[in-house]
Amino acid sequence: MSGILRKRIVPLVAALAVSFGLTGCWDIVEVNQLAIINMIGIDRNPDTGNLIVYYQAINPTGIIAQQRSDGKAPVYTFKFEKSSPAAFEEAAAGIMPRKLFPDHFQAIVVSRRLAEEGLLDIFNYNENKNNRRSNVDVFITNSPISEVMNTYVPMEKLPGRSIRSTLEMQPKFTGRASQDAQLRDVLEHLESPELTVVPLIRVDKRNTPNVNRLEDIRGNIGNLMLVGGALFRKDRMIGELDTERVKLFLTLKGESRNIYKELKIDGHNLSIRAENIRVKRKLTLKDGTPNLKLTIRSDLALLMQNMGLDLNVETMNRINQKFEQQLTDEIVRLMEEGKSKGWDLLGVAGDIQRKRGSEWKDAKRDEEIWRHTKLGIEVVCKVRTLGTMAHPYKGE
Amino acid sequence: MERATISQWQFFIITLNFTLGTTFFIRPGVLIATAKQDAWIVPWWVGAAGLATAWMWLNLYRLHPGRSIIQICTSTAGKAVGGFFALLYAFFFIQITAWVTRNLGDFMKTTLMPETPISVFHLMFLVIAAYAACKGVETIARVNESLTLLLGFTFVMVVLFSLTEWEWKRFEPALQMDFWKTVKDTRSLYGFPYMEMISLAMLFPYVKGNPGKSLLPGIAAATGLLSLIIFFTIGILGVYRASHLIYPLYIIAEELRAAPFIEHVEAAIAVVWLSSLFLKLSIAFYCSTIALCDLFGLKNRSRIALPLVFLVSGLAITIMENNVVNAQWDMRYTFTYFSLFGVVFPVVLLVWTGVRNRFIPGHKEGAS
Amino acid sequence: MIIRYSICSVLAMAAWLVYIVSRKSPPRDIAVSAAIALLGFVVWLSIVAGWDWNLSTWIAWIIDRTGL
Repeated sequence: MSGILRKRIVPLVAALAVSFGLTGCWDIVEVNQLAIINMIGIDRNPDTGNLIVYYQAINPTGIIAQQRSDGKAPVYTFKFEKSSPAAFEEAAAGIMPRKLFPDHFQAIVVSRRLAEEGLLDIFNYNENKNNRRSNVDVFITNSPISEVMNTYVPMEKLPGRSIRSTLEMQPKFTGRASQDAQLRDVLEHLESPELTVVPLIRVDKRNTPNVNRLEDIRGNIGNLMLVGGALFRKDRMIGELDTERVKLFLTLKGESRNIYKELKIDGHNLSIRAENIRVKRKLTLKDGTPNLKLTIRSDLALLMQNMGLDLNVETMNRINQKFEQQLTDEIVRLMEEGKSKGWDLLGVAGDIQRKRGSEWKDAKRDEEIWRHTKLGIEVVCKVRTLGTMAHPYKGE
Repeated sequence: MERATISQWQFFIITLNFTLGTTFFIRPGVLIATAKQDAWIVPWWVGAAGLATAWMWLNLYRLHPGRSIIQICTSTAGKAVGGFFALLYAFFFIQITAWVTRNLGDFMKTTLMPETPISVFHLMFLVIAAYAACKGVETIARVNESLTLLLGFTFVMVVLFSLTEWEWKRFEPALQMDFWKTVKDTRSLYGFPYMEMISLAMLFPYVKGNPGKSLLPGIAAATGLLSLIIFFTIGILGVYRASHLIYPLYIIAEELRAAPFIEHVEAAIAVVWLSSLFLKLSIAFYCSTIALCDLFGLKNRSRIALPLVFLVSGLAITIMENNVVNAQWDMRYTFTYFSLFGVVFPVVLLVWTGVRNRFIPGHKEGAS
Repeated sequence: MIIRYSICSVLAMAAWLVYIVSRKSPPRDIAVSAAIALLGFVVWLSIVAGWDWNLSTWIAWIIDRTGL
């Protein structure tokens, strides 16, 4: 019996005793004691220079109530103003009845004015935390950040999840935003000359901070809209691109595979979708000047055409040629516009830094060499998808 | 010495886990900061040097079959001088145990449980490691076998789900490092983990057959895996971010997204990876225990296991101030200090054995 | 704090020694066990008392002095 006691029971008791270390006690996290943050907004007070942060916390009873249409608020927004990002958790503890839990926030919205000043402090603070989230979508807003953070949105109860879902659809359907627009993607280029585009949003018309908004049938009002892209160099916003330029920029980077385009042939409008876009870039050095050859291949899907023409081989060829010509012109225009503003929108400087060989040494040292890039573009496309109609209705 | 036998396969797994245990957590960030996009090549030449050194240890063992490194010291150089070498080795093994314990505590405190006092982690893991040491090398070997499969599976899953973030351009421009400068700057990798493996010389007498048949392939496999881990870290995280992070592999697990609703699973993955740290700790603790037993001729390991927990848990706190100080110490002293035990002392013992065998008539080391 | 720690540690070590003596361990085992426990006690005392020492710093000092 004493042998059994020693061999079986004593180790068991010792193991149980060890488990009384109860490491969970110090770091215990009770779900109903947490203020689960869904979205964070950051701005700077221009008068005091302090950072302003908005925490949008989920109201659990409000979420459940939503399913029964009781009209309870699904989220509450708390605003704090402090000189350093590290002070916000302490500030939150003074007013929020639950422990701040930003571990699962879905989106971070930054005001344009703060983005233009630079976000290095915020990046360093976020990356250093043990509950950091770097794979979170970043948005820049032109609207006052208080409006963005104090609005209820239709369809999706949680605004943070709503804009995240909106963003996630773009690469697949519209090409207006990239899935590489997260905090970690901006961080990756902090020391490189490559530009990053971050989604730009605004509030449609005016925000609706009252939960009664959820009973209003008009879906646009107070909603958060994707209106373009904020161009970032390192940690700073340097400019804004409209939706069309964002699509082109992301396509050339290989981050947009499907984009919607409108063509005009002989005064008639066509709506097409360029699908499965493959971009090949070849950068060479000739007489000390970078030469960039872009080869773009794409399949086209014809969505709508009112040319009144039958769909035949000649029409298809005209559509292909029009798309090729239009895309080439747009790329050249993009490059020229970028040059005039000092933006390397074609990413030539980044390509040069990745080159090996002694012939590229001088080019790597010259920060402005991208301005002298000679561009060669070849676009090859084919209409593959026509829809279910063999010939459009002519109405005659 | 206990009557135990471990198979070649078990010793191979022990070597693999001991080499990779803390290395795959801590080393990638440092190596990527030094060698940038070519960091995945660094383990290859360091591993080759590690293999050569291990081959030297095996030659020493061949001259003293059936003896651990502690027993080799005392039998070769006598009780006084040999005993001094053996004491240094025992102290070194205890220090390695303390280092592994501290790495484990630091990881838990930095990433998962910041409010918990670090000593709680140290004591809890050490008590289990002490229990494992009391149970013996066969138990440790079997636990190694069973947990390694789970570790491998988890790692493969993390890499597969993270491949959506892969970009080949993160490796450009390739092969641009200044070779000799990189060799000099990454020499600490030779010390930790390759020279730490002298601890495994304590287990040579338990291996069935020639331990070299599993030690050398184990080191080679660990080198390959380490290179692969660094390769994946560069491809998924990129040089810039990985070089700024202490635990880049943990960050990959943190940012993993298997499906819209399966994300932020780093806690579950880290718990599995912690077992790798624990396996290394149990091996290191066992080696420390039997080193002391061999040195002082003790009969029962369990008599010193618990006091050793007390000592190691204290040393783990005092061994380094913080990660920054440790990183600087590592750059400057790891290569020198670890090479003393991994290269210098074994070479001295080899030469001493050779001299004795040659010049002292009738003296030749035979089977124990 | 130091006194509380010392009393608890000494009691624990004494209990451990009583245990291993009662198991009829050889004197050598008891001596080594006691020595390691004493070392551990000193290390923990230094932590509790807040003595600023570091094993790695000592090793670094030795390596620097010997010029390795």
